[in-house]
Amino acid sequence: MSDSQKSVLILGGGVAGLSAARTLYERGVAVYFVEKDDHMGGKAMNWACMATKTCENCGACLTAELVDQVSHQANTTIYTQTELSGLDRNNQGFEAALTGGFSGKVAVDAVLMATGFSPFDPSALKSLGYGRHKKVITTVELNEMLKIGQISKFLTGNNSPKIAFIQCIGSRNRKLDRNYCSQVCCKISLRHANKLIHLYPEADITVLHMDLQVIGKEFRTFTEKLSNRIKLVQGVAAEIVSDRQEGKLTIFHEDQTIGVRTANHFDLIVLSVGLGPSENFGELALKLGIKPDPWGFLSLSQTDFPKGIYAAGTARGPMNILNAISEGRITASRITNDLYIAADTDKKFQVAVVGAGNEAVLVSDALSKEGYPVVLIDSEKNIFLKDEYIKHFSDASLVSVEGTVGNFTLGIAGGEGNQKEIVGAVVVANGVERLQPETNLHSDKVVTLEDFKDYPEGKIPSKVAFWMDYSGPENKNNSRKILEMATFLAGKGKIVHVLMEKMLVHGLMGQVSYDAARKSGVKFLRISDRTSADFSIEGGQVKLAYEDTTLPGMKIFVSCDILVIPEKLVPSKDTSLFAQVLNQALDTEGFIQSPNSRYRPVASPRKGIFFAGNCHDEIDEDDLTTEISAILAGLGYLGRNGSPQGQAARIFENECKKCLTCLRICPHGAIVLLSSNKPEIIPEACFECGLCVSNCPAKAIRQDTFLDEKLVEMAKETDTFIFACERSAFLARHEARRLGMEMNEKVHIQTVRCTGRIGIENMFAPLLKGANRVIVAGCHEGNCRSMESGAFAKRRIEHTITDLGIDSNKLSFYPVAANEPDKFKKITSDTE
Amino acid sequence: MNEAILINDAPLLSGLNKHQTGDNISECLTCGVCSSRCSWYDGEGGPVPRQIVRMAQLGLDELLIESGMLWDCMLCNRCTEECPVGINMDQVVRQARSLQAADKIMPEDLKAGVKNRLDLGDVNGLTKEEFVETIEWLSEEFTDEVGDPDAVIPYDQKGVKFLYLPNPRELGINLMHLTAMAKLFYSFKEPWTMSSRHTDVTNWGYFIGNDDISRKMALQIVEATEDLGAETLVLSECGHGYLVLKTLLENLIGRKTKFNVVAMPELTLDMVEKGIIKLNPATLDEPVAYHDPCNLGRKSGVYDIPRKLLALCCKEIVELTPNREHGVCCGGGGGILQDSSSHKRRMISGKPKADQIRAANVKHLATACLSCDRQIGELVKHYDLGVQVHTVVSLAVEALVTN
Repeated sequence: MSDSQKSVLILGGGVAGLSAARTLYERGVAVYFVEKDDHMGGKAMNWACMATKTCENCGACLTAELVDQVSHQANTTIYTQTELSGLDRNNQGFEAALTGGFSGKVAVDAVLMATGFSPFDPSALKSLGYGRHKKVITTVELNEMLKIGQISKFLTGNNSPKIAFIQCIGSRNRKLDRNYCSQVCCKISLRHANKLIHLYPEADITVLHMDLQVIGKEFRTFTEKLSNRIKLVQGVAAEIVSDRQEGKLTIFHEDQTIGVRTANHFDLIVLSVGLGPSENFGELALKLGIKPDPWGFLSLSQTDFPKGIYAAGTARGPMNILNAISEGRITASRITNDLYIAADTDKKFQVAVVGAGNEAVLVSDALSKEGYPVVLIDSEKNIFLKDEYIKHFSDASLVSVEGTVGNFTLGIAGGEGNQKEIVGAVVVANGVERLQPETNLHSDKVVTLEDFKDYPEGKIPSKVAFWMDYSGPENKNNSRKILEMATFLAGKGKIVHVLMEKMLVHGLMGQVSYDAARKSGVKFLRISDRTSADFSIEGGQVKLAYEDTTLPGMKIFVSCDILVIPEKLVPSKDTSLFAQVLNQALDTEGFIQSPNSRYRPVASPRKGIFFAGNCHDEIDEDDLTTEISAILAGLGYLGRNGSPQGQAARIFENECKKCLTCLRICPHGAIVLLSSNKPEIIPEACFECGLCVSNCPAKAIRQDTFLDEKLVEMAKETDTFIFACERSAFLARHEARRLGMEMNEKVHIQTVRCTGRIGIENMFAPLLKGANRVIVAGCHEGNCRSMESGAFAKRRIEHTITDLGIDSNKLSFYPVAANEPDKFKKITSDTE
Repeated sequence: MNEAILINDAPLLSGLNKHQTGDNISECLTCGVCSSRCSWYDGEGGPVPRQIVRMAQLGLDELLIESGMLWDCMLCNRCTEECPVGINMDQVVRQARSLQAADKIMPEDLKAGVKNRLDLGDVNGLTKEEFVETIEWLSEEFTDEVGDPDAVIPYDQKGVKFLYLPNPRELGINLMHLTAMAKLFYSFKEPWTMSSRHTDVTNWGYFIGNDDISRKMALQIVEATEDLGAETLVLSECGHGYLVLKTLLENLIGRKTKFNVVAMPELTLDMVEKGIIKLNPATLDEPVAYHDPCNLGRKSGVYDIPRKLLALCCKEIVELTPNREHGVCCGGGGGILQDSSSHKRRMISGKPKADQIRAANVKHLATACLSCDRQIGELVKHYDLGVQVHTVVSLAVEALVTN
């Protein structure tokens, strides 16, 4: 370590700290880790894989990978079972005193608090009987059981278990001083329900919730599908009674179809516990001179932290794994900028922002402010730009993207004819378009949200009603806008009603806003769906008729002077064109499909291509700021070096038949066509998955060999030979070892960059040498870093088995995520 | 499908908004916690707490009145205990009962009791003459029983230390209880009295949710106590009586009183601790389960005093599950017991209590409220629980060591 090298102390070895450490390492910063547990990975390390037939993009498996990478990276020191006991500021930075596994002092330039969260302890709520009833567990425990394969045993072989999830345990509860939504629990429980249904097709699952936080188009589709299979009950339970005679757990809740309370019996009840600040966190914050928010999170703005101290991940408030990983990167990037190590002196390449509307402008402004020359390509004509440094193509569209990161050539079609522009990276921020709501009534008593926003206060009548989900599922932006408007109007003495299917309380302050609205007198009318309400105009008033889900069997009439309905949000013009140009899929609603969890929230498998805003995910203003930071963090890294990993494949020109299979299948857009019609692999853009190598019909593409011939030789007739993806199955085996699982020792494991690399000849090699069977174990579908590459391997094996009539016991493919140690154990055991 | 019109300034909501607490009815999250906590438990009728709150919040007063839930609710506040925004169900339901429009659903017995109490000072309509006659007769019996001419049941004595306020049943069908209390007072060796002006610890104004009436009833007692110049007002074992005359009193009448208020269990325990009386725990050499009256426990925070006293009167205390702040209502709270037509309903509303008692596997149960005592007694008979029901203080009388 040279004297000039900067260093950062990271408190907490969870995903936020780990991803920050990755970024710091990539930028040449030394890292000291202080982790009080005996292993790295934090809470997410115990999270089970939620994949069923396909990956569900929870991101938990990435934890093991981050642990693996960080443990092997240079200039990184990890102190486990260690805690910070003191911190002194000096001229250079800080001197931190550590105790425990390592006792001593380290000098660092900055401190990152990635101290994570503590799950709510439900034993504080006595009536739930947690700790008393054996079959009442938390989501944390369910995760652990699923991960190590203990759930079957726990359910004592019951193949049709009746299971309830109770949401909001320790969340949205002012009495417990936790009047915030924990953000992640609804998704966790629904994914758990989905997983349990996958494991037990006969299971009977009920999810009791307050307002199911179905946010984001992907999750909407997921929930809709799942809701045909499980029961969703609005209304949670605060009490669990155990029936001594039948040994069942009982909860009482309202049966909303008939409006009476009923007793419901279950074999297992899962408490969906909220996220709170990490234990002993207050003490630590005090040591560092930081004032947490009233809940104990470090949600304060980054600029309000004392100099040299930073926070990331759930220490700042509840968030999911992928966002915590992203936050780690963002914060590490900020730290390096502050430490003046960043690429300030580097030449920053030009970035194209593609899209129409406010989101594109915000992204452009932010990039420009950070010193990136920006080209804005937008389809609108009269956009107002504050920043004169932005090169602006208006009324234009992106029609082609050639080249690779650092050197993209964009084809731009527009009013001024076709033009070309060279950029280093592309950000698509095409926003959404607001469509007029569909209604048969054309009355000045019914107005759209956008129009109503601009109403002068004097023009607003005394009774206002909003219909939240009128034009489609409620989304983050509209719900918050309506909430704010409703509260404001109620404060002005107006009578305000809000018709809604559910209240989205996203963000740390979501619940506080909702509480303020109700406190100010806004009345929220609950409907089950669009069909349970209607309106008409009578005597100059809007008459709403609706069925309140909390009062079954009643039709309730509400009069108001004006009804406000939100617009329908649809993909903006050209969204599908951009997706096509960038080789990205569209989702069912026509928005850009976000790539898998390895690239979320903003990146894509094609280096240098980013997505921001509502064109690809449902986001609000805060989220957009975060996305922009994530893009900046990503760009900073791209800008510094191209990062060739040195093992990119090469095309041997003499043998190439120019069939261009490689060009078509490369998931990373790393293969370009030179002017001589010859394909070439650009190392800076290559992820070394080797899919091109195994697919080249002429065998003209080569990569350093991955096969360990000695290992193949060793395979004996009783042995199993496994090709294990280094990002999934191999890490699962590692984890199985760490957990001390007993494993079949007669296996030989060959790691591979990506299972897509393994050709038929590779699969056969161990069999020909006498191995009993060959297993290819890779990522779940939809999880592969090289997108379809893993799926390719699976198909290749399926074809081989059918075409050649091979015994499927001899050659098989299994998806095994990094957090599926039990699955790895099972597929390698002799009895499988 | 029934129809209703949402009313923005309905009387119930307007009334609730006048309270200092309970104005948070608008804050209902519709989380459903209350419905999972109702003491009525199972789907055999009974109120759906969330619907009560929602009807109140949406101005559907008439619907709420017609729902039948208002007089099924036992005001036990078990739902309130876990409400994440702290909505006080007791307040909501009582306010709703007090609506003019709710007059038609008020049980006749309560109407009559309230009138009797306001006119005569006793819900059962015991006149002053009848009171005097009863007490004088009882006093003679008591003197004979004790064999000490100083052992009397005095009334209308001025400037004494204790003024005892009985439950009306002690002057009617449960005279034995009053004699038992007299025994205790006798053993306290302090001057005590009863009052012929106010013979009743109950406050049905509280049940019917009418604060004015509740205040009048409380003031009858306060003024009589002050006129007699008693140092301490001693309440018979009565849950809602304790709530009104101790927990809520100063807020209700808007001033401080010139006397202290204690309940019989507290006073008895105090006397034991001071060494004035002695109790023999071997008197009842069996475990006794304790039932927490809702008004005493959840609503007034009194959990330990009756338990401490009970511990001195028996072999051991058995806790029912759940207990204390999560304790299950006896099934007779909130005025339902006072409605003579309610027996059938009360046997349903009290089933969870009966189940709980059966699960505790005891032969004795004690509580510190004569209403709970009566309701549980009926449950024991109805469900054949084979349990003997006591009040804590009556057990103390049995355990009293006389020299």
